[in-house]
Parts: sequence; structure tokens; C-alpha cells
Amino acid sequence: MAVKNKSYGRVLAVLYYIGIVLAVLAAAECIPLATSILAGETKFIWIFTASVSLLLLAAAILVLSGARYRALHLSSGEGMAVASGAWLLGMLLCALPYAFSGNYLSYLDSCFDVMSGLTTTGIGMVQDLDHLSVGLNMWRFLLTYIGGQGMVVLALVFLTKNTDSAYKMYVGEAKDERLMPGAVNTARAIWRISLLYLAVGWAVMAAAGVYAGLPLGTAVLHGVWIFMSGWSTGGFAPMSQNILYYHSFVYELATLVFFTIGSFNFALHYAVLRGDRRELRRNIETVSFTITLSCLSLLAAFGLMKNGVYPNLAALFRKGFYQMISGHTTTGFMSVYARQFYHEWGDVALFAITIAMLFGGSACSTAGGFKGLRIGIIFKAIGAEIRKYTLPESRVVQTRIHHVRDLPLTQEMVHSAFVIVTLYLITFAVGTAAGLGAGYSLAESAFESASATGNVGLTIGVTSPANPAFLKITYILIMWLARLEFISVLTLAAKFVRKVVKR
Amino acid sequence: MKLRLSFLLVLLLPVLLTVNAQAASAAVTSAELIEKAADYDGRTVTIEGEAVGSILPRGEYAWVNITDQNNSAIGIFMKASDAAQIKMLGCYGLTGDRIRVTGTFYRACAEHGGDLDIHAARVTLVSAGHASIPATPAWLPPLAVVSAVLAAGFCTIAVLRVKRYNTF
Repeated sequence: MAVKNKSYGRVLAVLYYIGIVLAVLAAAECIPLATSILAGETKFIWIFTASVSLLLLAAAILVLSGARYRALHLSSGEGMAVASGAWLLGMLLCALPYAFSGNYLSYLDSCFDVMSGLTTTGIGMVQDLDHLSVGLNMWRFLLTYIGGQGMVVLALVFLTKNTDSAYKMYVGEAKDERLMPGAVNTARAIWRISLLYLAVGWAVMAAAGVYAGLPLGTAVLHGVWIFMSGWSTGGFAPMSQNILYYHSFVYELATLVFFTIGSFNFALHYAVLRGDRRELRRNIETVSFTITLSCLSLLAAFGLMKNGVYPNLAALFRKGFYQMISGHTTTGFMSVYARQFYHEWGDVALFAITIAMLFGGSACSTAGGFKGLRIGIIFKAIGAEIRKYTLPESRVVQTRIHHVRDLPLTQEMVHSAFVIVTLYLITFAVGTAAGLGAGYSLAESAFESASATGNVGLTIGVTSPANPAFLKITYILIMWLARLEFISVLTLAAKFVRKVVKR
Repeated sequence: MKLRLSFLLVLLLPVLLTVNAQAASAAVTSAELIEKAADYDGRTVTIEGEAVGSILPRGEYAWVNITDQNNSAIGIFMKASDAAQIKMLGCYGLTGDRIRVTGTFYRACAEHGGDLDIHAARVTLVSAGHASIPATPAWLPPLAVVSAVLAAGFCTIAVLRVKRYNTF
């Protein structure tokens, strides 16, 4: 009985922390509420009042239920359960404004868009985007920004102590860099970096908007939204034509700079901001990203030129390279229409961009995909393996990688990289099979699955409100699993199954 | 017999001419242009849609994005003087002016960095825009008030409870 009570208390402690995360989300939802008040959007003032209240109510109930057990030290599994549970419940409750708005055909579509935003994917189900309310748009981009840095990371900012439990939750959200001693200090450092870039990026994007011809007020609003989306490698835009709407090379270039920087590891940002600029050249992730981006861009350019898709080099850069880097950084901003990929790009370019989407950005960043760190580790391991058989047996060579500091390449690193990449590939295969099951071609299914698996947001035109429910649910699960890098969600599922089996 | 056939043709002529004229000026949709971009590339097309967002000036010219279906829009490059006749642009609470554009369609415009666009030769205003503020559903305010009261109550209890177990 005592054991059962102890286990019960531990579940309640997990619920307590999920409640804290939801409370922070409710506080964040006050920003779109304030936006709707300022914009005079009566309907959305009521929508956000109701949604904030319901989110707070759920948070209060969870906190109440677990307050007594909050001092318990969470295990690694419980920390992961907090992270994955918060993302799941967060999705269900953050979808309320969407569901009440009338801009979504179903609650499932609303949940899809929230998960797409939180995971910084950027494929969507919204209806009539060109007439969307300012408040609802603010919520879409805020969710992307919070999801990019991590909603658990945001909640940790408000904790007062660097507990062991805090670190377990931090790791549960697929972030394992310690920028500073303690998870709470690290979370605060991550948010400080993001807010610093927000101030700079907002100003730059607003100026680029004015240059592109937007009225000042609109340029300021679009500036903060596009920055939040770009920095978080999200891919949402306030207009249905995405980045093509602006018809401006300068605007595209500004987004390109911010989403590329956003896809870098927070540890790299921290090192560079502290004055170590050499880290930019030496870090295994920037080296890996530069090599894979160059190779895949050349391959895509070859495919596009072979098919004569674009009339000149400027067009090749603005359409070919922009989409490629947008895919590789897992951003998903588009300056072409979705169906142009399918009808015009050809197999070679489509193959290159699909691979780029799977490779993704850096670990402990806002980006998704395999991550540059793992790709670097895998290639280093392959190189070490080849060297082992080509050098004299008596010679022992230790392989090292540089990630903030020089590290020996260990078996544990290689094993972990291979496990996660394998899980990504299985997920990609499942997503592709689901697309095929829904009647799409292999190229379409693989492209869209890579986009969901890599949390990218580029679309070939598969994702739509007309999709069957099973495909939408599959993509939601894929985005959730991939964003948390599988282990957290699988731990939550295992705990749930174990409870059911015990009964 | 011949006379009968000629008479019939004379009777049908106005009908045939009308159908032909309609076909020549029949508007295509943005979705059709995107889907069959290679077929329409370099051809003169006519499209009708609601001007949305903002007019983006480019010297003597301007970009106007028009939408003709849910989440399907296309950029029109037109003279600034043509753009000036657009008084209302669609956004939340506003339905923009509806315009009809005849111009050259480009799958990947060499002049505009590969944009899929239309260079307008003629722009006409079809209908003026209007306010279209969505109504607030009757159930929404009561839901907001009740949930706000409940949330306030539960949050107060939760804060007191957390303070009671403040051992951490």
C-alpha cells in the first residue's frame, strides 16, 4: 500500500510540474488577449478571455493535485514525462482560441496547427489566413517562439532553485547543453539570448518591411511575427503566400540571416556572445552544416538547372537556394508555391531538399531534424572506422570533435547518435507510408513526411484540411515525437502502458 | 434544305459569338495558374480576386496580391496609377476591393527573381470592398465569464495550497 501511495505521489508530482508549465502558457496567452484589446477585435477579446481562463483552470487543478508532492525529486523518466505531458496537454488547451475562432474546420485541425507551431514545424490547417485576426496571428507566432526555445525551458525560468528535478525536465525537452551551472540558470540564459535577438531582429525585420513597401504599423507587426517565426525556425507567415507575399529580395535576405542564426546551438550563441568568435568556424555543427548545405545546394542547383526551372542566377538563388537553406535549417519559409515543388523542381532537386530537411539544424537550438552534431559524429565515426583498417594495427589514433571544447569521440556518443538518427528514419518511413495510404505519390509523401519529421514546414501541397483524420493524427504524432527527440514521448507512452497493464 | 441550314446558322450566330467572347475573357483562378504554370507561362490571362494585405509600391509600379480562393493568392505587378484605384484591401474585418486583371503570366519571372506573377496590362475595379466584422457567438461571453470566475477561484486555492506545502 505504501509503495502504491508513493507511486501515486510521484504521478501527482509530475502533474504538478505540468500544471506549472500550463500556468506559464496561460500567462503568455495574455499577450494575444492584449493585442486583440488594442486592435479592437471584440470577438477575439472574448475568445482569449475564455481560453486563458480555461488554461489557468486546468493549470490550477493540476497544481492543486500535486502541490503536496512537489518536493519529491523527479527521476529522469518522470522529468521526460513532465516534458512530453506538458506538450500534449499544452497542445489540447492552446488550441482553444483556434477552435473558437471559426478559422478551423475541426478541433483536430486546431490541435494540428498548435502542434505545428509549438514544434516550430509550420505546416498548417488554417482557413482564410489573409483575413486572420491580429490577436490570433499573435498567438500563432507566440506559440512558435515559445516552442522554439522550449515551453518547459520557459517555465524553468520562473523556478527559483536549480534542483535536480529542474534539470531532468530540461533534458526531457531534448536540450542537454549546460550553458551555466544549473538548469534554471541555463534556461534563463537561453531566454536572454532569444530576447536579445528578438530586440535586434524585430527592428531589422520592421525596417526590411518598410523597405518592401509595407505601411509602418504593418511592417512593425509583420516584423515581430516573421522574426519570431524565423528565429524559431518555424515557418508560419501572416499571409497565405508566405514570404512570396513581400516580393522583396531584401526581406528574404533578412529572414535568411535570422533563421540561419536561429538554427545554431544555444551553446554556440553563448560562446560567441562571450567573445569566442572562433567557435563559429571550429564547431562541429557549423562545419557539418556548411558541408551538407553546400553539397545539397549544389545538387539541387544541378537539378534545377538541368530542368531549366529558373531563368537566371538571381532567380536560382532566391528560389532554389532560399528553399534549400529554409529546409536545411528546418524553418519552412517559402518563396515559391507548394505545388511548384511537385510540378517544376524535378526528382534531383526534390531529393536534395528532402535530405536537407531530414538533416536539420543544430542540437539544443530551435531547429529540428537529425541535427548537425549527430551528422558530424556519425561521419567522424565512419572516418575513424576506415582509418582503423588503413593504418598499421600498432597505431592508436583517438578521434576528437570540437563542440565548444575539444572532446574525445566516445562509443556512447556514436551509439546515441545512431539510435536517434535511426528513430528519425523509422518515423520518416511511417510518415511516408501514411501519405501513400492517403493516396499521394511517393515523392509527395516522402517530401511531406520529411518536413513533418524534421519539424520543417515546407509543403509540397499534401497537408490540407481535406486530409483524412488518420494522416493529420500521424503528422501530429510525428511532429511531437521528433521535436522531443522520441525518448520523452516513448517514456510517457511506456509509463502509460505499464499502468494499464498493471490494472 | 440549304436555306434552312443558313437560317439556323444566322439564328445561332449571336449565341456562338457570345460564348466565344466569354471564353476569351474567362477568368482563370490562381490555383489553376499555379497548378498548370508551364502551360500558361508567357500567355495573356485574366484573373479576378480580392486585393489583400497592403499595396507594395515599386516606383512607378506596385505589387498587389489578390486572393480568389481560400488561402490561394497571386502577386500582380501593376502601374501605380492602376493600384491607386484600389481603396480597400482585405484583412481581418474588411473584405477588400475586387479587381479584374488582364496581363501576362510568368511561371518564373526573370525580372522579379523567379516569382510566379502576373504583369498587369489592364486593371478594372469589379466591386468595392466593405466591412465584414465577424459576429461574436452568443455562447462566448457567458463561457468567458464563468471560466474566468472558476479560474480565479481555483488559482487562489492553488496558491494557498502551494504556500502551505512550501518546503522547497
